Amino acid sequence: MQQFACGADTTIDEAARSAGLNVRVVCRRGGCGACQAVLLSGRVEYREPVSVTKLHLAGDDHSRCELLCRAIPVSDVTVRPILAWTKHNPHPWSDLIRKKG
Amino acid sequence: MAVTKVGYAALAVTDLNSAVEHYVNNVGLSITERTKTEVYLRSPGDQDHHSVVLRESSRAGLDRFGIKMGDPDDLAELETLAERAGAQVRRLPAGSEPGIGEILAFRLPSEHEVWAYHSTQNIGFAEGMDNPDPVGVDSAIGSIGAQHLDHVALCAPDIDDLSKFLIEVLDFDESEVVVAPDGKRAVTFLFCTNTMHDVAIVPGPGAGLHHVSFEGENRAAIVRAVELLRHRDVPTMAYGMTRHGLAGVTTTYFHDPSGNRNELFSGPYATPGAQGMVPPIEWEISELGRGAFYYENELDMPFMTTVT
Repeated sequence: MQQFACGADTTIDEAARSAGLNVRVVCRRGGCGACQAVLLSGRVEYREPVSVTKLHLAGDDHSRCELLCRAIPVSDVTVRPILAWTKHNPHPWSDLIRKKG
Repeated sequence: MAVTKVGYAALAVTDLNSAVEHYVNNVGLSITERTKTEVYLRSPGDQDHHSVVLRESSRAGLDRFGIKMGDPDDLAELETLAERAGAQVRRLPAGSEPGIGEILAFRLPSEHEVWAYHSTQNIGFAEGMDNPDPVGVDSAIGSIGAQHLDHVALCAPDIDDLSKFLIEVLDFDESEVVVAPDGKRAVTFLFCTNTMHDVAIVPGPGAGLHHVSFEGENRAAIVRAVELLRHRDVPTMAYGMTRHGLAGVTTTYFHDPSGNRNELFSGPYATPGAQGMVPPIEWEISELGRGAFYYENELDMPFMTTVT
């Protein structure tokens, strides 16, 4: 399990990137479902539209999931991503290179 | 009976205003009509009233796509053939959709909604039909310069089933196919015009949209397009741009503000238009890395699996 801080008004994707984790994100607009994750605890909110069909997992049970590219935590949250995240391999220069949110 | 082209793609979007802004400012389309619920846009190189329709919805994806038939009598023939193939067909009178006449609506075996029509309101090329300027219209300068709607790439759970309908009922032909180990189609490119695909089919959920594709002016235009998209922070594919082994085209993929995938590409080869006379190019699935992403020689799986 990876733990990281997420500022107010920050999506989980942005916070994960700042913490050196690559969330699988493709469209970054809440439409494609690449960043689907099951919310195990806590609450999130959306301030920009997302596709409601992607708020449910593919498969038989269609259980609820969240879209990390637009989900903003409103409490501490625990999420289980559907597609694996990768960790950056830090180079000494990594911290000097501006990270884009 | 002949389908002359895929005339338009109607997209569901989760934010209509930002979608319109994207398709006008980034892609280079222009608005021809607005209704209470939908916005109709044309590309500079199509003469029909619209080639993209946008409708606000709680989801993203493909509402339907339009196919333009070659002859007014084609609608009746298609009605018979589609019903015989098991499709439920309904007729919508002229005026049901701006800019097009009577419509024959039906669902493909993959649950995609298709509206077939013959009559359209011809609005000419954006540059005009009298002494046009070859450089193009000012309104598209500053966009990636989509010339015309080229093809739609659909997702289907059973690719053989959908291909069979398009080939046997709608007279499409097949230019390239990826064959799975069991001998079934894994990916296929079908055409009804003289370019190598008007409809592509990839594995995925029924009614799914993989992408809507526009043709760029040339390969150099794709390089400039990627730079513009990155400059404007439009999400592009991780590779920026690539070349497909299948089709051989130079391409970039990006997303509209609702997550629908768009493509701008250049360099499809011409197909002869002799239906059923030229066998398709076949790809083994083991070669799909090179076939999909020729430079990278690997298949980025989220590219295949994340669709609207």
